[in-house]
Amino acid sequence: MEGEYTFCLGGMMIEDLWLFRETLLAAVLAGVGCSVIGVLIFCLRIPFVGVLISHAALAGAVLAHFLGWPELPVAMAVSLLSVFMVGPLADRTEIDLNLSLGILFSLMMGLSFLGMSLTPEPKTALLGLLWGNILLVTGKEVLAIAAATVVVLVMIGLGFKEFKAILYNRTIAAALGIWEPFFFYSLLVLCGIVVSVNLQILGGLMIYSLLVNPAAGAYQLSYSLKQMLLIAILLGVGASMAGFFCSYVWSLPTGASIVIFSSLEFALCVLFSPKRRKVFQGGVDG
Amino acid sequence: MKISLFSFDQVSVAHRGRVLLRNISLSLNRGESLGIVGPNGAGKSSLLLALMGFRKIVSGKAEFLSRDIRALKSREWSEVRKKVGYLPQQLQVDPLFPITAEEVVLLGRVGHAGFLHRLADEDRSIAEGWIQTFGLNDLRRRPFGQLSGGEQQKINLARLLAQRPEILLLDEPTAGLDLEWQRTLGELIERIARERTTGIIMVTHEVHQLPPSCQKVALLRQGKIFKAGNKDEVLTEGLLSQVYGCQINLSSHGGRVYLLPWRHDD
Repeated sequence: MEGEYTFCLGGMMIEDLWLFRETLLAAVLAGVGCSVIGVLIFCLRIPFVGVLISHAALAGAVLAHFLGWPELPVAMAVSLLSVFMVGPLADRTEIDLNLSLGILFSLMMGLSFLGMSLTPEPKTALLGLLWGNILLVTGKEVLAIAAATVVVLVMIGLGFKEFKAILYNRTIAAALGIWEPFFFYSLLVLCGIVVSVNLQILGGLMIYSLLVNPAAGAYQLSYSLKQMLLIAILLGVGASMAGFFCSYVWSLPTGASIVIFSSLEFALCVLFSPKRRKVFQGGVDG
Repeated sequence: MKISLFSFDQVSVAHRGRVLLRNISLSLNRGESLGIVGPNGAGKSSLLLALMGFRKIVSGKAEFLSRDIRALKSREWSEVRKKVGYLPQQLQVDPLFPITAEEVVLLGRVGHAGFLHRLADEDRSIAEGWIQTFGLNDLRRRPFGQLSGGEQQKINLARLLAQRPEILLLDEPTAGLDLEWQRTLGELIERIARERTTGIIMVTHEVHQLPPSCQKVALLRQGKIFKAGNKDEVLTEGLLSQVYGCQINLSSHGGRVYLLPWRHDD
């Protein structure tokens, strides 16, 4: 084997890299899209919306499977439906948004399992939706993920100052003359799009870690929203790449490796957070 | 010529089936200040929320900045709110939240700049002007959530003035602040009131916080106007004692009225 390959990385050959180009591309794009959306929902203090949407998308995919319809559009439709249910549910009933998220989340989970048990055929494909399979990603799926990531980046770029105001405080944002419902729901819709396109590769159970961990890590490191977004992207892409390589080299499940890496990154961010130290010191005089 | 900023005629306000304010008739012209006083639960904050469109007006005639606010749609509300400087009761901001003091002041220009437009140099210089006026230079790069209550409130005030509002709605702006900050903020509000370029509606328990130049006061109790009119007619020992349900003594000093909920001979 020696000398046969010009480049070798932890047992992975350059030709294998080419073989997995779609997987790698998907991992990078998922890392970017999920981290950006993650920062926004994290700063809005509703990270759980990621769990709701991923399970709504799961319920949609199961439904599509049951009816023999294409998975992605139905998954996206159901996740968007859940988004448009949760906002008004919280507003009408005066239940805290996070509680409403929990109520809808368990409903979606229930619907998913109901659909699974009603599906007569072998359930491998459906169970795959729970943990995803990034190694089997198709060119078409990569294209969908790329499109979603571009849409997210463009929207956030265009409405950056409005989104920033909304993250700071929704009431203040509305009071400033920003059309708050439009931006708030755009954000939730973007979240729905990103989560549903990434569902097949990351799985309903694990996508939450790629949404929230990079954001939570970046939150420890910066006081600037722009920097936070950049750091989160780096952390997200880093975790998905590292997870992919480890899973390849040691034949581990990819999704699980990605989750473990992103959790590790978060732990390191907390450990080395300058904010923690500053707050501690500032606690005495301020 | 008097320019009407808002006028309520027999207005009732409700939220989730509960009536918060009943038959309110009040008005304010440019350059005037109005103090809203009353015990807890009297509906003081609800009045401001109704003006902001955050509470629903269910009956009566309500004009705000020459718009019939009962007919406004969600999108039109944004246009009205751009002209209003609203300071809600102090809000908690996470100490780690990624926003600096300077960025909070700049938020005041976001609505005016509009979607798809970057903040112009003019927006930045307006915000900068208030940062200088309020002496916030040392604080500008500090994370907003880590500042003291008084510092945050000063920045909030700079933020809403950067909005160049036609009317200021201040909800207990000095609540929870220590004496020095109460004074600093009180002086700032008096200065704005004296300039008479905007209107001010200020909600407070502590009537001495009302700027001395504020001549109109409305005394609220249980969602209704108990008495509204000139400061001297409204802030009397008899009326205040009735509204608060205990003997209240008044003391005036430097144009400000102080309430003493204790008897002199105690």
